[in-house]
Amino acid sequence: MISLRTAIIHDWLVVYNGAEKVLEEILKLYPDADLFSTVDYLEPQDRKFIMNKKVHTTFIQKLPFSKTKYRTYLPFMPLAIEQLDLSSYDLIISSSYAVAKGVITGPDQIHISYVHSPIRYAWDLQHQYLKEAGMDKGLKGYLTKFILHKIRNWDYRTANGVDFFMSNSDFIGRRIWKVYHRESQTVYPPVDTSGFSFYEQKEDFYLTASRMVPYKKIDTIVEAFSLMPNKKLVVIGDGPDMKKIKAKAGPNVMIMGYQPYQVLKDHMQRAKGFIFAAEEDFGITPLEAQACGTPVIAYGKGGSCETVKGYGKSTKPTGLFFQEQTAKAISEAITKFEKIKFNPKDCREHAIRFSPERFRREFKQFVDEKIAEKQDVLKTKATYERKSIRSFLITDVQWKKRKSAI
Amino acid sequence: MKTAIIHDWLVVYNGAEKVLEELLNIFPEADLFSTVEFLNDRDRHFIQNKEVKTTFIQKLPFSKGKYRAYLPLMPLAIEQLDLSSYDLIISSSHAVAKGIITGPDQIHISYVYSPIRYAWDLQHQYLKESGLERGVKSWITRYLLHKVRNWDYRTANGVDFFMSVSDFIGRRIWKAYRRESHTIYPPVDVSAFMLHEQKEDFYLTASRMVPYKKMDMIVDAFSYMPDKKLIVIGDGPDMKKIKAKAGSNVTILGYQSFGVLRNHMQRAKAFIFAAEEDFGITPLEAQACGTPVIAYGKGGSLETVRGFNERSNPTGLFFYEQSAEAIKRAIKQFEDLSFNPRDCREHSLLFSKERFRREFKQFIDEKLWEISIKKNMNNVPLEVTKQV
Repeated sequence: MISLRTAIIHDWLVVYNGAEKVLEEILKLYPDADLFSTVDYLEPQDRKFIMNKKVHTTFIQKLPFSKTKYRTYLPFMPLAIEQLDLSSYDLIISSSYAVAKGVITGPDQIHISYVHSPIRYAWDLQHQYLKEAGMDKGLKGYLTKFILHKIRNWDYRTANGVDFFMSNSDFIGRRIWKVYHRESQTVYPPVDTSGFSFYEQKEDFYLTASRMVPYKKIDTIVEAFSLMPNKKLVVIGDGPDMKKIKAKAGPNVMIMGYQPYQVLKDHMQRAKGFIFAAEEDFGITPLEAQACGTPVIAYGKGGSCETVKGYGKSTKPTGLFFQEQTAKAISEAITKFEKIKFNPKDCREHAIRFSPERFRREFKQFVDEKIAEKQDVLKTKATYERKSIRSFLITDVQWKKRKSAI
Repeated sequence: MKTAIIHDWLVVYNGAEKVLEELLNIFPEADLFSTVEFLNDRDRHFIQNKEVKTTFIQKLPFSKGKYRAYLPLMPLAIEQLDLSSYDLIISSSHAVAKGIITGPDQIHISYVYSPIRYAWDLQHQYLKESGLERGVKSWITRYLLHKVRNWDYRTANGVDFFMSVSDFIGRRIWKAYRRESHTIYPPVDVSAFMLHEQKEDFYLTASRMVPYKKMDMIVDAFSYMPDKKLIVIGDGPDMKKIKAKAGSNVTILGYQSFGVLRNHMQRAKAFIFAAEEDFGITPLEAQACGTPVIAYGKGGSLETVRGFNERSNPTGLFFYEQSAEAIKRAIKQFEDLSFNPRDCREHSLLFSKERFRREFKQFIDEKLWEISIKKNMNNVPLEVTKQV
C-alpha cells in the first residue's frame, strides 16, 4: 500500500484549548499531514503543538479585523470551508466543532470526522448560547437567529460528505444521531493527567473550579453550601458571573478567583470531593480531580455520566450524581456523599485510562480499519450479475461499535 | 403507463444525448421535457422529432448561446414543470433534471451521469478550467454553487430510484446524497468499430485537449522514449502547449474525422488514456477495435478496462499516478506483455446499446413490480413488504 496523502482540517487556529489538544495528538499520528483551517492566528511561540506546520487558510484570513473578530464571520465559514481544494489527498481527517466537517471530498477519498460537537450554537444549545451572548432579543439577535437557521440546513447537508464519524463521547454521539442521523464511534479525547499526581490525605473541604459563566452553575453550588453552614467549599476561577457568585457566598465559602495551575492542583489533591454541576459535551476537570484521587459529585447529565463512575452503578465508584441542577439536589448529594467511602485509588485508576496514548491507539485503530474496508470496496470489480451498488458501499448502519477500553 | 422523460438541456448531441436516444427507443411514446431546446433541425432525429416542452429559460434573452449562464435559475425552472399527469418519470441528469417535483404515487427514476459536476468534488477543477479562480465573477459563482449544493441534496429525496453511469458515480451519489444506486453502464456503439488484429508500431491517444485529459503528460512521457511512436488525435485549448512539448517521435494530427480516428484505433498497438473520467467511452471504442488500453487507474477506467494481473482475459494495463514517469513505466511493462485483441473486442461488446436497453428496461420493470406488490399489500406489516 502506498502511503496515504493526508490532510487534517481544524475549524480555526487561534487558541490552545481542548479541541487543539486533540488536534495535537492527531498530528502526532500523522506527522506528514498537511494542515488546513479557516483562519490561523497562533502566535509563533504557540505553534509547537502544530509542529510549526504551515497552515493553509481560507479567504477569511484576509478579511478586515479577522484576527479578533473571526467569529463574526461565521456566516461565511461554510462557503469558506467549501473552497479548500483537497482533491490531491487520499485521507481527510476533520477535527470539527463548527464547520470543518463540511469540506468537499470526492468519491474515492476517505473523509473521517472527529466531532467535538455538531456546531454547538446552532442546535440544542442555541438558546443557551443566545442568552449568554446577550443576543436573545433585538435586531442583532434576530439576524443571528436567521444565520443559525441557515447554518443548520448546511450543517445537515454536509454530513453526507463524511464517510465516518467519531464522537468525543456517547453523549455527542447521540447529538450526531439527532442532527445528522448518522452512526459514530466514540473515542474519548486525550486527557493528560500526568501533572495531577495521586494524593490520599484528604482534608475537610469541597472544591469546585471553572470559568464563571452561567451554564457552569457555580452560583447553584455556592447556594447549596449556604444551606449547609457547617461544610466548607473552595471556589477557584473567574468570569462574568463573579459578582453574582460572591454576593451569594456565606462565611463557609472561600472564593479564590483565578489561580495558577499549582494552586489548583494542590486544592484538587487535598479536597474531599470535587463538585461539578455543568452539562458538558465531555468535561475534562472531573477527570483531573479523579487523577488526584478525589471523587466527584457531578450533575448526572452529558459527558459526566461517562467520565465518572457513579456510586451504585459500578463496583469501583469514583463519584456520585445528582439529577437536578438545584441547590437542594446538590446539598442532598453531599449529605449522601459523606456517608459513603470512596477509594482514592479507584479514582486515580479510572482517570489515567483516558490518557493520550489510549486516544492515539483507539483513533488509529478506527482509521486503519475504515481505510481497509474502503480499499476492499474499491478492489471489488463490477459484474453484470450484481443487483445493486449496495454491496459496494460501506453503510455505517451495520458497524459493530467498539466499546472503549474505559 | 404515461411516461415523461426529462433531460437537462438539449443543445448538442454528445454522450448524455446518446443515452437519451436509447431511452426514447425504449419509451417511444414518452413526452420529452428540458430546460431549453436549441437543437439544429438535422440533429432532431435522435429525439424522434418530438416536441420538447421547455421552461421559461427558453424565452430569456440570449439563452441560445448563454443558457449555461442561467444555471442559477435552473433549479427554479425545473421545479416549474408540471408532470402531475404522468405515471412514470425518467430523468436523464448531469445537472438539474433530477430535481423535478413528483407526487407520492408517481415513480421517478433518475439516470445520473454525475451529481452536478461543477458543484461537488470537481468544483476546483471546473473553476480553474473556466478561468474563474479569482475576481468578483469567481466569488459570485462560488456562492451560487454553494446554494446549488444544498438544492441538489434536497431534491435527491424526490428520486425513487437512482441509476448511475458507473460504480464510481454510484460512490459520488453516495457521497453527495447518501443514496444507493444501481449501475447501468451507458450504451457504447461498438458495432461502428471493427476488430483488426494486425497492429502497427505506434501508440494512440485521442481526446479533446483540455487540462484534465492530461494529453500533455502523455506527450511528455514519450519525450523520455524517443524510440517509441505516439499519434495524437484531437484539438482544443491546450493544443499549443502540447505541440510545444512534442518531440520528433510524436505526431499531432489535430481534429480528424471519425473514419480516420477509427482507422488509427484499429492499427495502434495500444490506446493511452490518462484522464480521471466518470465513465469514459473512448477506451471501449479502442477495445472494440481489438486494441488494448493503457489507462490511469482511477474513476471509470477501472470498470471499462480489464486490468492485467487483476482479471482474467486482460484488455489493458493501469498506471496509478498521473505523471509522465508512471506512463513511461507502464508502457515499458506493456511491451513485455501480450494481449489478445479478441479479448478486447469481446469485452467491449458487453457495453453494447442492446445491453443498455435490456438492463434499463429490466430495472424499471422490476421496480414497477415491487411497487405494485407493495400497493396491494397495504395491510401487511412493513417488515414483510420490505423483503419483497
